[in-house]
Amino acid sequence: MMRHAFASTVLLVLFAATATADFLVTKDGRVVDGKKITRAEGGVRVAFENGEVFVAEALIGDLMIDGEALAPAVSEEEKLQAAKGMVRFEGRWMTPKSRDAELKKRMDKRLADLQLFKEHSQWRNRHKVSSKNFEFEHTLMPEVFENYRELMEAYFAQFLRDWKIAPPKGLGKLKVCLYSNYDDMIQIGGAGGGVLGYFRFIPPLELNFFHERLDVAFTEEVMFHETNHYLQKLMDMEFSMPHFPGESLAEYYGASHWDPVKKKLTTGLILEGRLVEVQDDIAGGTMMSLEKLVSTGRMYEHYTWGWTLAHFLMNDKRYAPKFQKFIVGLVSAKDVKREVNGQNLKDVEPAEVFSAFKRYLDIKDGEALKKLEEEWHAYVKEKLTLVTPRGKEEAAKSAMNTGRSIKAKRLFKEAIEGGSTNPMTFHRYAGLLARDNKKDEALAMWKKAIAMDPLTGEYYWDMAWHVKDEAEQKRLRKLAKELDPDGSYSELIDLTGLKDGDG
Amino acid sequence: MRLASSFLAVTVGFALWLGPAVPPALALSIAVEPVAAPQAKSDKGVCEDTRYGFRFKAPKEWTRIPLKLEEQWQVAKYLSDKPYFYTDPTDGWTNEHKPQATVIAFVTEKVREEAKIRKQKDEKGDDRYVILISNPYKDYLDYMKRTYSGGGWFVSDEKEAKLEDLPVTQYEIKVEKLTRDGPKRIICWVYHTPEVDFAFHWEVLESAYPKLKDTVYDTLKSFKLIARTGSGLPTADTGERKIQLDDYDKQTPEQRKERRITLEQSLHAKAKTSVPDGWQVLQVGRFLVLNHTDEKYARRVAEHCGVIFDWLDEAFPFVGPTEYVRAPILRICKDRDEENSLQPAGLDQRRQIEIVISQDNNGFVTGWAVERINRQLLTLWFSERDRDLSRAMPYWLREGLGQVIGTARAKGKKVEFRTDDWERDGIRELLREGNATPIQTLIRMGIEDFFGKAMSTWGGPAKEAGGLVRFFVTGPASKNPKTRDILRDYLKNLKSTVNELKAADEAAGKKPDGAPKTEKEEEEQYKADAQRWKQREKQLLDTTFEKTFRSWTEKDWEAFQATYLKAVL
Repeated sequence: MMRHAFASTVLLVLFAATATADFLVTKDGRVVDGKKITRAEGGVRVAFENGEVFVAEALIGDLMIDGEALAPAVSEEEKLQAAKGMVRFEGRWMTPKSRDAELKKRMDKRLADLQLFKEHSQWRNRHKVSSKNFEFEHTLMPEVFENYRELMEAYFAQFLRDWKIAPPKGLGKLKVCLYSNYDDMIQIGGAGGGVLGYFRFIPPLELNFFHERLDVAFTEEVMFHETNHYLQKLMDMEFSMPHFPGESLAEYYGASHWDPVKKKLTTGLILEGRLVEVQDDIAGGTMMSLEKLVSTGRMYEHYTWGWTLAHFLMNDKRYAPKFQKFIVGLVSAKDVKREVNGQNLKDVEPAEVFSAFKRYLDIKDGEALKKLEEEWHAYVKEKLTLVTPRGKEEAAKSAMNTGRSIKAKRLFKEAIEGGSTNPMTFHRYAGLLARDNKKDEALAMWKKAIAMDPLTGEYYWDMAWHVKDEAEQKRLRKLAKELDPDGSYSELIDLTGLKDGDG
Repeated sequence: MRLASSFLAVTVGFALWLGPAVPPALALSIAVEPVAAPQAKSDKGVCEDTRYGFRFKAPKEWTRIPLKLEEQWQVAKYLSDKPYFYTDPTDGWTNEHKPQATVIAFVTEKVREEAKIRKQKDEKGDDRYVILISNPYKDYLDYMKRTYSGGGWFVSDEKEAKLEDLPVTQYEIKVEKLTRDGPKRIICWVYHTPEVDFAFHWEVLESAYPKLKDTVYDTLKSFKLIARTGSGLPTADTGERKIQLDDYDKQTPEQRKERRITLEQSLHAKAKTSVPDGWQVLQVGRFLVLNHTDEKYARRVAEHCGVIFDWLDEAFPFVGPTEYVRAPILRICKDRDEENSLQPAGLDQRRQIEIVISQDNNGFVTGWAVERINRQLLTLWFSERDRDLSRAMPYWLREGLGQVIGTARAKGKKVEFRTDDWERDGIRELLREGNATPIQTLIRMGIEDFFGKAMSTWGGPAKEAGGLVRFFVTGPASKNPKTRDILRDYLKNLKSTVNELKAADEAAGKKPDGAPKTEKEEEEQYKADAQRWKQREKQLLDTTFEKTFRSWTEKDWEAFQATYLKAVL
């Protein structure tokens, strides 16, 4: 029921049949209610206490404007029927009373749907959906969720096929908890700050990740990565895959793409965020040693350099079958020494992982290891490149965070020229331009960010610092807090009105 | 698993990481001057607070525990005397948990002073910035979001009700995912008054909830507002900390001493006023002891601490000889649960001089409590005597000294060092498996290699560092004329190297600004910056090593290694 109401982008026009307030639901699930909404060219204006905000029609998932009048009669037929006291509603002529009754019925249902939607955003009222291989619990809009359900089922089927894995009998369905934002995942999932998703590998098995509304591709990467841990687990439920190659392979499969029309999954794409980290290491003068990467028990670089190694090996016909055999061999081959770890799972020590890696990849001596390392390094430098605006955004973000603002500006500009639709890119670029005192250009970028994502307070907050008019500065800051009271600026101390010696 | 930063303590899952942790560089030291927490009084089973104006029936067979100095928004806290247990069905481990109840005050916007920064002159006319931090939590749920660490939680029920005429929001929270100690139930009623919201928060194991719910709800229902007869609503001194940023580098030793003594006196005085009923306040030498266990144990611990400080004074007299080391506050709790609830936390943790332990069941000599105290005393002593030296200490020396001091126990006025089985057996295993680190390599090992090897050898380098420093302090090396002063010489040389590097930095800092103008220049600078930290660490290790061991021949090293192996095997 709710799904139909909120999937619709048709905007109903209502008479003042009831005194109910207007509401707007964006396509990514944010709700604005209790504010006066008026129609404007190409969208609507929402009247907040600190100013009007324009929301483009393309962003609107559902909308109800209470008391908005119908257009006046224009044609001769309309004038004739109007003279009889009749109105046309959905192709039929009827009395205003009948039409109002129909509208009220529909409006009541939609308000009830809105209430239900709000309730489902609380974890205690979460949706519970079962599919062939998963039991989902989530607080997303059903349309947004549907994409993940389809993706995960397709991914599950393809990985089992590619790796010839037969799931154990009586496996049951994996519980998947999907949160509508990062904070919810940290709070409800309990993993602590910094975690982007996790797979609980001891019973009860469980997968947790969140929907990043500003970067759905990122959410999918995390989902593919975490699901891959589950799929690795299906090779042997009693086995704990070592950090390398476990995390590196999960990252390799993290870069996958699902075509919903052709129903086709493509795996092993470029994981541009990780590539940027590797490129930063190289720019900083660090090349990873193959021996160190493979023989170290746990290291962060298994996600970055490890991904490049997996990508290199999986994309080279000489090595791909050997690398796959190495991974399967760690799980089940007789020539690999396994031990039982503290969680009562079979495990392989780092030294043994390295030894097996050399054996399965036919690395006979130090020279052969060096040769493979050189091939891999060359592949990283020459073959792995950033290809999409999103990759450039990632690189720009990283350059910005590491103090390379000249590079960051170039890459942000290229991402925007390449068709970026990420408002954060415009916002970040604006910040760098403002730092160079290019205020007009910066303000133009912030305006574009706001046009794309008008209900996020951060853009208004940062823009406020570069607006000349003091009253406008204050209004923008207040509007930011009104739109998003929990934004990153909410705890900042506003010193603008503070005089020396205050307090 | 995927992470945004640093290693994660999720031991049952794969998480996804976004980037490595970057250690923050703190240029200024932060000294915290907490204000005494207002203490509610308990009398005949009633907890009453006349400053805030409330009372409730105290739960029977629960103990009232003191409040943390830095969390003054908590106004009353109770711990159940009886523990409850949860056995994890996945691994069979049984966890113990003692239910807790806390009253937290959220002063409403109407009376809450906004956080302010003000610039002021001290008595000598130096600028000093003072930050007043209000209770940082907006309301109960905000407090939960930002402080709760017992597992993943969600509000499972929320109701608005009235207790007599007092509006109350009733929360029920379930803690279900990645829980510490097991799944839990949190019950919290928030009593709303025009000036203050009082959140009465109870946390119990889910399995114990049926047995405890009568106690929980009886107490919640007994909450009443009373007339405020104290010194008025504590808006200014509750939920606020005063943080002063002192630039120690610009102060003389006399100024630092004066400042530290002021802070010490302030912290001691405030700790004394925050002690609840049933706790004992003892002054043992320079140490202030807040004791909730038997006095004999408390005095023994405090006397031991004095002996450790004396040993450090005697062993390293050349380290910051004119600097003042603040006397710690020893808070000795009756058990581990009480200790956990009182551990200092947050921004000022490292600057706090309070050491919290509980009486250890394994006893004074073999228990962990004294080992932890010793390590904290060591850190405090070095950081106050010479902060630069303390920060520059290579990992082998920092960890090695920690290992050795950890096993020190006072016997009369002397210190005895016990054998550490973990360390000794670990070194033997490394030697057996051919994974031992040669001594010269260990002394020149950078932090990255140290941790890299520690990850693959279950902390191997830490054991080896302990073994080596022990060999210098108590082993044959402490008696040999060639090696008995090596540790002291190394520290002196480390200090001189630190000074040389500092002087070089200052000279380099005077060069004209070289901000990059092109992307190429920017990349070059980035590369140089990325390498600088490693180069600096290497420079520090190599130069100090060279200064200390320059006269040693290969033969000397061979002889030294042989004696060392003989001592550890």
